Amino acid sequence: MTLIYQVEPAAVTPGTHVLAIAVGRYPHLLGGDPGALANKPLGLKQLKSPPVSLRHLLDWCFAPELHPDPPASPGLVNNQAPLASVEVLVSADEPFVAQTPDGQCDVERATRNNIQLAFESWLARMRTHPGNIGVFYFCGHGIMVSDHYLLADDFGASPAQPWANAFDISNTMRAAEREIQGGMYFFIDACREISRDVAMTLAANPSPLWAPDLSKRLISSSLTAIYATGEGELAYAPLGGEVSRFTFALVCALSGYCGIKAPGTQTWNVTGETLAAAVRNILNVEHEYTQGKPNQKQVSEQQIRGEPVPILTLSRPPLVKVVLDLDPVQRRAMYDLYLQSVLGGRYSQSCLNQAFRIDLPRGFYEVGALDPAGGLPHVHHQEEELIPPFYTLTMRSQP
Amino acid sequence: MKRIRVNLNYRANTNSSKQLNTSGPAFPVRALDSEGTVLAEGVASNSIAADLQIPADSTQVFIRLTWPSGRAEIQRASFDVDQDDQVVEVSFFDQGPVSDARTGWAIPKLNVRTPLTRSENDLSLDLGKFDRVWLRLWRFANGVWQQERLKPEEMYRSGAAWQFDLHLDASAWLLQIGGSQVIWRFVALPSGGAARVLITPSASKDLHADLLKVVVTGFREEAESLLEFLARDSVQAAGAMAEFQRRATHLFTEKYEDPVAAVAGAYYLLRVNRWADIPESWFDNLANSFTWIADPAIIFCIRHLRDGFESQNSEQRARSMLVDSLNRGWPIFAEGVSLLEEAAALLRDGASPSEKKLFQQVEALGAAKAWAGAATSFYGRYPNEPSALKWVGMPSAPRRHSLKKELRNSKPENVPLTPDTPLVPQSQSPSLSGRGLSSRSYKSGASSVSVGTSNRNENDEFFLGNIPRGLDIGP
Repeated sequence: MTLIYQVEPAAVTPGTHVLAIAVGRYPHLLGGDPGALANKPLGLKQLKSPPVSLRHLLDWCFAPELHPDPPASPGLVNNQAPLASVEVLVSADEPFVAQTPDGQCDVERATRNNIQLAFESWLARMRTHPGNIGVFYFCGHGIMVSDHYLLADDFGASPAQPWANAFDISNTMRAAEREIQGGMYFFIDACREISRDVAMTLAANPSPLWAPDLSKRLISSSLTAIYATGEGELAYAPLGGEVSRFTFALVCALSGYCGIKAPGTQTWNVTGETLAAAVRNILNVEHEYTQGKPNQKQVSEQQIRGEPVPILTLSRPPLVKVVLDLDPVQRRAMYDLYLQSVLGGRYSQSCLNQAFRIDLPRGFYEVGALDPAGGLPHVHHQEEELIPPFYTLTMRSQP
Repeated sequence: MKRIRVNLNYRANTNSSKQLNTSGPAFPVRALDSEGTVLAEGVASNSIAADLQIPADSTQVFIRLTWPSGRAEIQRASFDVDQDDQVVEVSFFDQGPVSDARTGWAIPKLNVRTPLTRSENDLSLDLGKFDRVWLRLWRFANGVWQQERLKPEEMYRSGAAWQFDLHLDASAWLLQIGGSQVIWRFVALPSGGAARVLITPSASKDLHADLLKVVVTGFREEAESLLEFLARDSVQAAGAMAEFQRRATHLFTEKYEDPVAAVAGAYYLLRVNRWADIPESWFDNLANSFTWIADPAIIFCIRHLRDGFESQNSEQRARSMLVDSLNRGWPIFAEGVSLLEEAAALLRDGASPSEKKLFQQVEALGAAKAWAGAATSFYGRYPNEPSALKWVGMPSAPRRHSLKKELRNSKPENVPLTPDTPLVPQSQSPSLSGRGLSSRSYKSGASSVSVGTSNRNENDEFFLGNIPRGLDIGP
């Protein structure tokens, strides 16, 4: 286990406890240790993205401390449950060194045993206060059979028990709901494909990290699970060891691009529902703007239960990534594209042959295109609500 | 304090043959300030306006009405600066985008790009290519799924959709749809009264999406809106619906009038962990008074599981409720399928051999899930054999669905040069169930469920082409 960050015992106040696991190196899967391959590697290979993706998540967690001037993102800000601990396990080709506010820290491998120990200690920290918030992140191989199974570094090590080093995250969540009173967020960046091979493999029934105790009442105030992809679908990462699509979308959404201010609250809160919607939206828009292949469209899925418990409480309105365009494109350079906030600010791009991209605070705007020469028709949309994370509009100039 | 009265003036979804007039839809509304801060929220329906109280210093407020599809309509309300107790009225009408008043009820449940929002003159959908899409109706009774003749009470066809009305008795009912390009799938129908089915070409750009969307209603507007929001995990909107006149609890208490609406209330209370607000005996009554639908039994089972087993007896009750549920057919609502999966996963350990067979059915159902909004939907050839294997073709000549070329390329070995690589390669087959593919009947699990057999030829099938354009046909 590697507890890379902990605020000294603060059990009297609630905090947010993060457990992040990334498995890129699988010694017993294809491309791993030639002499130690699993009997049935299921066609699964080594992954470059998970360690990079986890580092991206850590950078977000510690953003205010690591990149203070100006902060790259608000980071994990929660005035009801400030960041209290971060535990990390990473399996990669090279030893993983985490950058923390307290300096560098070597990180242990994400073997099944290490994951077990880390989960138990995360659970113990979570139990210290009923208002604690738990964040569980996993990036690596996953397979959906009846439940969702995630594979640890040493998956396939034992020919006698090939599934011994996987774990059942679905039942782990069901167990945690009976052990932890606070809110929980599970971010699962792994495939959820249904494999007949797996279904037909005897004993393909890995255990959860904590067995559900059915004599206990469900006590968790809320549970949000956001999956990188839908059931039976694949998750993707760009080639060459970049941040996976899902983690990119997740961290983007958590970096000030979602949140609502509900009646009676003073902050812009990011709840499971708003976060899940933002992640789905970012994945969708990024796919369109990068002209992704239709067969590789990734749609995240979520499971939301209980009362909303915010993972973030932001002091400023969230931002919206605006992409404003004009059709036909031949007329773009003849127009000023603008957004006029009902609060008074005006933002524009003057006569450029490109889409107008800008980040603006959420709220209500008049959106339009105006020909400075006055020859072309004025196009405008009143009372457009800019809802994070994206607002995209292609206006039409006719005739 | 200032107030906004939000009126909804949508046309009600009516059923002329039964003279069934509903109160019309109900949708959540929010009052927002210029930054999007939520000032107040409520629900507006045709019969009851939302009454939103906003801070006295408000001068400009935006009212957002949200449909289950996610589409929102916005209106502005302006107040005088120096008048503290002013009331402003705002009204939403449905005339704008709706091309056809008879099918407009389905628009809030469909993709925002649905062709139903376009006028007939703008449509060029060539619905004729779907004329040979067939429909079958299945009824679950005495432990058997039996095919019934599909005899709509009313039929209607526009340039964008087919629609028909049924009157269904108190049983579990499934509609099956299939065709040479349309993957065979089932959609649960609301039972115990009138049901309306609308079928329209999908507006989704997703290559995985089914070609035809199926939308169903049992004319229970509020309960169905609540479930549609839940199905999309729009829990806040569902919460607004549920709080509307304490609707979730109210729906529950009205169970003897309408058990399907009571089920909707119970699903919401389970989702937000407020099941303990309701006495256990209510769950018990719901499960034991309405044995013709599966949902109340799975709801009571989950209620036991979430309360924790105090004794072996309570575990036994949960197990028997799960078995009861599976012996009543499939849940009407997709929320019930998720709960079935949860119950089967938690009760798998220590299951008897007969229970294990039932749990395998639940696993197959989970793997075969399809999307029909709040309604349960799954792929497969037979109602009791949900299967992730996908089939197309006529009922008498089924064939395995071959993936579109673009989708076939998702196998990583075929796309080594693409910029993205999957975190896991595609498996050889997506199926969990390879059983019974050539048989029309078999026994399964503890309940001895079997598919009713009937020898029908193609002339007996009901095709979408049977629905004449723009006409009503009585039985």
